[in-house]
Amino acid sequence: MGIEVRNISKSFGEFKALDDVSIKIDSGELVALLGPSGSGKTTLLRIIAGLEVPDPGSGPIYFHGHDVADQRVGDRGVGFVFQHYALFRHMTVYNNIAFGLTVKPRKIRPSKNEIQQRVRKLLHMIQLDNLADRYPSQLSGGQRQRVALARALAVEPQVLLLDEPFGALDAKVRVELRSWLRHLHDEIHLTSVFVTHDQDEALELADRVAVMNNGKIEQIGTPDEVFHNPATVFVMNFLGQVNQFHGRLLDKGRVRIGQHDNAIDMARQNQNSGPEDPSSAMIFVRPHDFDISENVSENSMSFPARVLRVHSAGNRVRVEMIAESGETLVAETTHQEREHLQIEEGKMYYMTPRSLKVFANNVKQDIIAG
Amino acid sequence: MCRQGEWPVRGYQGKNTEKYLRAEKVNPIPKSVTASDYRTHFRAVKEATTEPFLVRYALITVALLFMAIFLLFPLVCIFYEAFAGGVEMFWKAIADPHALSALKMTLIATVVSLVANVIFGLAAAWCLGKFNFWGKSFLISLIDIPFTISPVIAGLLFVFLFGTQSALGTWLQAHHIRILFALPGVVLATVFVTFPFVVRELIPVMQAQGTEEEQAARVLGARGWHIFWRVTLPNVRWALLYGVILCNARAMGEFGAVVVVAGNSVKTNTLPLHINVLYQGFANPSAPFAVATLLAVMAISTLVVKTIIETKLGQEE
Repeated sequence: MGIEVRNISKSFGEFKALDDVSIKIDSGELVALLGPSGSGKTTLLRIIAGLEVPDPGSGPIYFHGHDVADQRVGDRGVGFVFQHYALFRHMTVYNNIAFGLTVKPRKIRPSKNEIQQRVRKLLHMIQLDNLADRYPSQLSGGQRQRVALARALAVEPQVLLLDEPFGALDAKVRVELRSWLRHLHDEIHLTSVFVTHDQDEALELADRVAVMNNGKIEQIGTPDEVFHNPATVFVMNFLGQVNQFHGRLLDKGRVRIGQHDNAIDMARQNQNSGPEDPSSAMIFVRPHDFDISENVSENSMSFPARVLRVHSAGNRVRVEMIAESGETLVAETTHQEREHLQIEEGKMYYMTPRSLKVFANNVKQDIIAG
Repeated sequence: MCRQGEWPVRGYQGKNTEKYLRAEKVNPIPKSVTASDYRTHFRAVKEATTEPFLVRYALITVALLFMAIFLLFPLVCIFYEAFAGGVEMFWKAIADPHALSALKMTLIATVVSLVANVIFGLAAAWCLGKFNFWGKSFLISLIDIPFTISPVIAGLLFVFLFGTQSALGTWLQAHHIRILFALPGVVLATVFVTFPFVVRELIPVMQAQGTEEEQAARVLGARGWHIFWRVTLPNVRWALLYGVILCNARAMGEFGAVVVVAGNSVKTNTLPLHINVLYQGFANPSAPFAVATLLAVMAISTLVVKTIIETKLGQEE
């Protein structure tokens, strides 16, 4: 076990930043804490680091089996990379990286030679060998970020914590640095946690993603799991684009969207799960999960909709539509398909969801097509 | 002269030129355009973005005249009057035991208030600039009190506090501790008056820098004093030096507060007080000016150091 925290709560005055959060992170794993601002992800990271004290009554914090909850931040052996780098502005790159080694108590401080060797190695690792004498203000954002990482790694930490590591960088550098960090992690296999509000970053970089909202972890799982099998309405909405319909669960295993005669009925399986029918439900369909067809389909789930706008700049074509029941939706299709069906504004099509997710009272309901 | 793709901007470089280049996004220049074309073009741009010739020079003249009359002229006068009685009289006034004693008093008061204010300034600015707590803005306004009350009143406050009419004063007298009309009083008054200079310089800098670097140092294993000496202090060193210089200038020149607590004794006179005594007296008319040159030289050297530091500060930001 790399890191384990149990029942951590943290309040700032009236505001509850963390509400009884527990998480286990395996040794050598790279985990992302993903969530909107104010969801508590940075607070959790700072509590793990020891920069923030959890509320009384909170549980232990284990690093590799040892409880570090009452250890000072400097003794926990964490490498922490700050969002705005927090490099020492009056020190050169070299001295920044060496800092953690030079402040060690004399007894365990490495010799000058050793320090120099280690810093040189780290400089080489972050590909900044020839910038050792520069000051932070003379570096680009991406270079500063790498120096911050090297500085954190210099003390050979047990765990590496990164707070929005790419938040302050421009889009291109961000993507470059992302894959660089992934490669680095694959090499050194240090148990790492990073905070981000960028879902692409979390899904691409992490072994597992913990999606946070309102001080709680909504779901934790591999990127595949959280994206394809969201456990809650929040995760469904937060990850990727999705069409959201308000409807009701009907008897005979159906959900209904809208209240009019021309409401859409969708088949529903497994009547036993979830609350009593009929009750309000949320139905989610991803834009790329719609089949678009010119003819009425045998499929009971298909419904007619009119094209409002077509956005064709991009890899795929996005079609904004309005269903007869008045619901607006977005469907995604290929350029080929668009040409084939001649999708244009004002035309009517029959839409069939290939896959949909239904939640009633935030409890997931199982539905199958047909 | 110009390499292809490079602007012929030498001699035209100014804020406006830069802005123009950026706004128009006209880099790189096409081959067919010559450097002189661009000079003409820049001249047009320059004329469009500045005031007419007359207005510019009129304003500059007014500013220079003001400076000459109010700053340069008095300084020249001091030196002129100082040597009016000849070099011999000048040296006599300076080598006078009273003058030397006054110089000593001024130096002691200045050095002590510098040390006191640096220590207090660092501690107070660290507390007020890096932490948030209840009553913080009240403390900050408290620090400004020496700026807002007249130095003479400040001096009177000390007379009331340590004078025989107060309980503290009676106690001090009973134990033969002299504060008023002695060196401690002069030092106290100087410290009080120069109190805000260092803190005032440090607080905004520390506030702007925040606490992230200290946190980073803490995560890396550094302890309290290490963090202070290696991270906090180096980050504010120029602001600290700047505050010290302002504090120094004020400490050397302080008159109002010191004259009240020093009494009328030649032993406790500082340079400004001594100059005043000489000026009121009938002896050598050039003597006060001669001693004043001492203060002037000290002030000018302070100014030079200040300018150097300001340039340094500008470069760092």
